[in-house]
Amino acid sequence: MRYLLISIFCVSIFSCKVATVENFIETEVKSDDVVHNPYFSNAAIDYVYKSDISVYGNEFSGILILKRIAPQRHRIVFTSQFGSTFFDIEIGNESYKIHSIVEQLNRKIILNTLIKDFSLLIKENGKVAERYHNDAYNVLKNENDKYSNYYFYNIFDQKLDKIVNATKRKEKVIILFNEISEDQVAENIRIDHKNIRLNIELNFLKK
Amino acid sequence: MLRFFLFSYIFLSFSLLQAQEVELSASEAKSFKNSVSKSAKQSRTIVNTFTQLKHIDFLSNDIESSGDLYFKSPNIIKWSYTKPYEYSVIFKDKKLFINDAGKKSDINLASNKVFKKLNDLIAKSVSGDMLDDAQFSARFFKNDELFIAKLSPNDSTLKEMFKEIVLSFESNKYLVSSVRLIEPSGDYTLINFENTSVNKPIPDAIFAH
Repeated sequence: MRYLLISIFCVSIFSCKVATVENFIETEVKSDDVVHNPYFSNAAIDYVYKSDISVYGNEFSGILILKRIAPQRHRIVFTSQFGSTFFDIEIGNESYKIHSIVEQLNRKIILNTLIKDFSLLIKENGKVAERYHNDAYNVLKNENDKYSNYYFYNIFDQKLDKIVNATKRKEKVIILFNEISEDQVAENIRIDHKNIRLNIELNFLKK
Repeated sequence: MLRFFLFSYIFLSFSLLQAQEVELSASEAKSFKNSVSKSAKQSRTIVNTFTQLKHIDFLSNDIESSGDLYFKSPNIIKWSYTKPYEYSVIFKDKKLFINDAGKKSDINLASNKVFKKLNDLIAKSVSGDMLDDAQFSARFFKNDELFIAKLSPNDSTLKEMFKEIVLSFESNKYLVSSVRLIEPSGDYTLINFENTSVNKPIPDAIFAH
């Protein structure tokens, strides 16, 4: 009987755990642990990316511009290659403001997805709720409402390689940061959604 | 005292610079429009290089891109961006053909009014054949080197996209030398045309998708 109870208990614990940190070792959170994303934090840099978006089989591209305009506050503009603006959004820690958006994109579901993705992409700092590691990564977990964000720092150079946004059971969004330059610009970024067919690839435009 | 003179001088020169752009009289405007229209009608093809600057107020630098432009009367047009990436669009047969670094796609202009308006606008602004268009309210100016047409869209679709479109023409050739598309926010896209050649044959392959 006791064995059965323990089994049930174990199973329920493991089934709750999201696959993101499966087989990782959990350790105690250190007092100075902080989740940090350096890639959009320099106010002197115009972060300008060629952006390829694939949504339910439709592909289109444009220019995505991100700029830190104040601490914890970014302006994000998406334009066509011709320069016409699709949207212009300002995102802060707890709030956002829409400066402009074209009629075709001005739908609640699209807007919510954009705000959620970009908030995750640009968030600079956050509290650490849990800490994990394996041979390749230190993982810091940040909790945000009903979601958890797992930040994967490469053990080799401490660079942030990946952010996984997940509910208790399922991974929702994965952001991969590749080709990190000397001034901390992620020159290739992939944003992949697990529950909807939406993928975004960003490539930094060099002068 | 010297400083005062210096300030006055600088101030005056700026005022003079400002004043250099004068509005055309009704008869001057009419003759300018006729000349542009004549030049547009005679331009069966236009080939040039362009540089495009996207100005966004909160950015430290304008975003620059450049490439080649091909126009064949009345409305086939190809923008071929070569820097900082390979990207081309061809407006042809009521369709927009996109080649994104080898990835090809097309958009039906008949079903997309924004792109259709944009296409008409671009084709007409390259040739300059838009000055009498009822879709715009136009005012005309000149300075030493250029004629300047400032167009405000009357059409609601275009109005949402652009507050004003400013076309500059070399005063001797009546050919468009730059287009500034100003958005309602004040941010703008400036396209400068250079190395323009008119009526040079364009191989069909240029407009093939």
